[in-house]
Amino acid sequence: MSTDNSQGNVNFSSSFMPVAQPVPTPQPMFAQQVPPNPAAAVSIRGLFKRFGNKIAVNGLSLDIPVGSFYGLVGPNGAGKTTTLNMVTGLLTPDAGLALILGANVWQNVNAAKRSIGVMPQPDQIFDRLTGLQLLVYAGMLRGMKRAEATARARDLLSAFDLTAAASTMVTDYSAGMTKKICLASAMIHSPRILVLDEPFESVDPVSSANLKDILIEYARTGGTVIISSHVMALVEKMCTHVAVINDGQVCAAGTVDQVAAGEDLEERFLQLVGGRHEAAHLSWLDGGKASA
Amino acid sequence: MNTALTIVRMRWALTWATLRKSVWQTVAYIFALIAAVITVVGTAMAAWFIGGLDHAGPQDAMLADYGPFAFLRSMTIALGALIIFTVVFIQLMLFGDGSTMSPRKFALYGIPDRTLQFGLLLSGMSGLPAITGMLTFALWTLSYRNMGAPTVAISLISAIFSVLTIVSLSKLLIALCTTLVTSKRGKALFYMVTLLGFIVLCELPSLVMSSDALHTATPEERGAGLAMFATAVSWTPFGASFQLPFDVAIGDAAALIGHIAVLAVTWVFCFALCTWCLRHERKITGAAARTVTIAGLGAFKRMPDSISGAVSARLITYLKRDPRQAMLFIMPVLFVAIFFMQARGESMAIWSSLITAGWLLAIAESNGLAYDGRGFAMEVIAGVDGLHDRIGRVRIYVGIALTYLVVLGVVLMIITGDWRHPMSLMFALLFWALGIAVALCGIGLAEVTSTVLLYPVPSMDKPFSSPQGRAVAQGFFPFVYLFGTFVLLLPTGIVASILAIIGSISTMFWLLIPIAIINGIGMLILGTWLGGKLLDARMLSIVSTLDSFASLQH
Repeated sequence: MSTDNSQGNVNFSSSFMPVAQPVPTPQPMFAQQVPPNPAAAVSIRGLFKRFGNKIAVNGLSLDIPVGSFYGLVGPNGAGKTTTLNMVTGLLTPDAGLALILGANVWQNVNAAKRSIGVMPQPDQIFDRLTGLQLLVYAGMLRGMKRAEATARARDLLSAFDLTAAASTMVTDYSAGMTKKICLASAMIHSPRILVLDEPFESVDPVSSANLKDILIEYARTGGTVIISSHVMALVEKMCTHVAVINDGQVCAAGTVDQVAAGEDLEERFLQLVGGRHEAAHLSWLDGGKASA
Repeated sequence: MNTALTIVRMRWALTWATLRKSVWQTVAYIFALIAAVITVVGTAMAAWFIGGLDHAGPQDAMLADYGPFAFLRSMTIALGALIIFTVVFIQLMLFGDGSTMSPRKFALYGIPDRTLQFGLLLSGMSGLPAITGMLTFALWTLSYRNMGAPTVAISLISAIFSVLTIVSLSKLLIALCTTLVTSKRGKALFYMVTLLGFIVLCELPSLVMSSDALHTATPEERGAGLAMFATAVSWTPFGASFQLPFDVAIGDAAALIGHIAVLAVTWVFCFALCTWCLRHERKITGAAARTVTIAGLGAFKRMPDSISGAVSARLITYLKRDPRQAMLFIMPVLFVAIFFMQARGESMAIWSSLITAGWLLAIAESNGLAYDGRGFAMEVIAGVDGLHDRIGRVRIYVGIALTYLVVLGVVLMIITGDWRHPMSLMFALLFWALGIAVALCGIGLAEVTSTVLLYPVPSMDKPFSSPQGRAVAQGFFPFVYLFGTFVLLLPTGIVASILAIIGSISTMFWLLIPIAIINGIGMLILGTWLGGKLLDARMLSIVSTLDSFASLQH
């Protein structure tokens, strides 16, 4: 079995094993050959998860360097969310290892969770709280004092253009506003790692630009951002690194340039993942000419 | 007409499709079918029997409100009106529940409002419940078989009128509620008022039967009262259709026309208002619903500055805004009021209601995590310890239970005047302490059951809906809490038994007051600790269970 791909994965954490082109190959050998990297923000080895007969994550290994803006991309059902859930302590893996800042996630799962910020999905929050209450709640749950949580909550509301809606119940927010308050709730305790699933979905362009600025600034100050997204243009523009996941394994990983390999990232993604086919021709779908 | 018939065909096509898709739906439908057949056959048998009692011919029947005919008329109208009222009320309780034949689902197809409304009305009239209703009312005609052919004929027609009235009123109420109650707070308030009204409606017969006024009245006065009630109701949409056969029987054409006019006006009014609602809804679709703002931190400012304090603040904020759980805190007061009305001055019977109140207070918490829903994931994401969560929840429930029982205790003490007699005071305190002990044991047990025995609950936005699987689980799991609470009171029970065996219960019963309180506190601590441990162990599987419950709510 080739280990080229594993080299590729390690490549993006350039301080360890510099390797050129990422090549799509299966990974399990990687887990046995390369020890986890305690200096990485996240180090995954041989992560495996099966749901009934379906293998969701198949021995996935990856290192995410500190201070990177890391994009996880892949088709629906590729295993991105399952991987992130296992890394963030929200799903027990069947096998494998996940280190967050050198600490084994599953040895002290609550401590690991407190050191990171996971953006909840819009239906994973208590939406009958007001925006301010929700942020203070998120802060206090992580052990912050009320005064500090309140002060940070107000700052976040201002940064996310939500000050006017601070006293409104989140259930009355628009989809974009809800997404922003979810993101703010993941940031209130100033975690060293942020894990975001489709953070810009439904967010208007102005707010989206503001959010991107906040996240880029956060990464610049040493924070690590891990985002899962389908929007390739966004990943190409914002991320420093990217991993393409398909069938529960990493097809390619490295810096965005390395993965793109001189091509458009979206084209490269389609090459790696496959599945494109000619659009079916529907003879009757003629813009209404036939009925006219 | 074509469109309307298409809607009717679609209704049945959807029903068959659902039956083909789900075995459970098929089983449920077969049960509904059996229930319908039993209703129809049972009504036919009862009508045949009652008709046999009435040997008066048309001539005698014209004597109107005397003899068995008067009783038949009064009871038919009173019961018929009650059936229409109850069915409409139940329809009202389904408000917010997206039915397959909701007008909103036809918005894309450009069907004129009146045609659509007519089609929906026709589809309502062709469903299994409507057909059962029409057959049942039609077979009730058997009880009129000795009152002449015209009476029988008009009774058969009035069966259709009755069902048309039910369907029209139900559709109107649902349309009005859907169109006019748009804010989340308005919907929550509407839910609470409706459910409270339903509970009072259910309790009304037993309150009326146990009232002193009914017991002191003579049979003649009771009969006259019932006849007057029937006459009054017959001029409303609820009773008019049931009066028609009797108008024909006594040959009162003016009354017959008048009662038909009441029905016709009702149908036209309902149809017109439903059509208006369709038009109005189109105008407001997409408009932002009225929002309510709550300034400041609210409960987050008052609770302890800790992780458990955050859990407490979130919980109390939700209890105030969640109509499903708020109702469960109104129930104990209702029970005390009912005990009070039925006790007829017997103060011990009133005091015992505190035990029931304490028992019911934590019933929501026994499935508390299911009420939290997917929002609970916030705690899991933040890595909150199970014990912190349990302490936060217990703080709120103990606070509510103590406040509740102290206030109720003081109110009952004033009402009964038991504070004036030392022995009565002692008994009152015993019941009060037992109420608190039951509440504390209940909360302790709830902290354990809510991590293990979860069952689906309706969503906050659709509190009347019934998620799949709820009926089966809800038939069993709450009983673990309800019976388990009394099992936890066993230490107090053992002491009471010992006192009874040694013959000291009448003089030493006061000893049970501190013992019950200590018993309650002990079980509360044990339940909180054990619940915390279980929550730590089961947190991820609970999140997965809550995800699956959420999928049932759509």
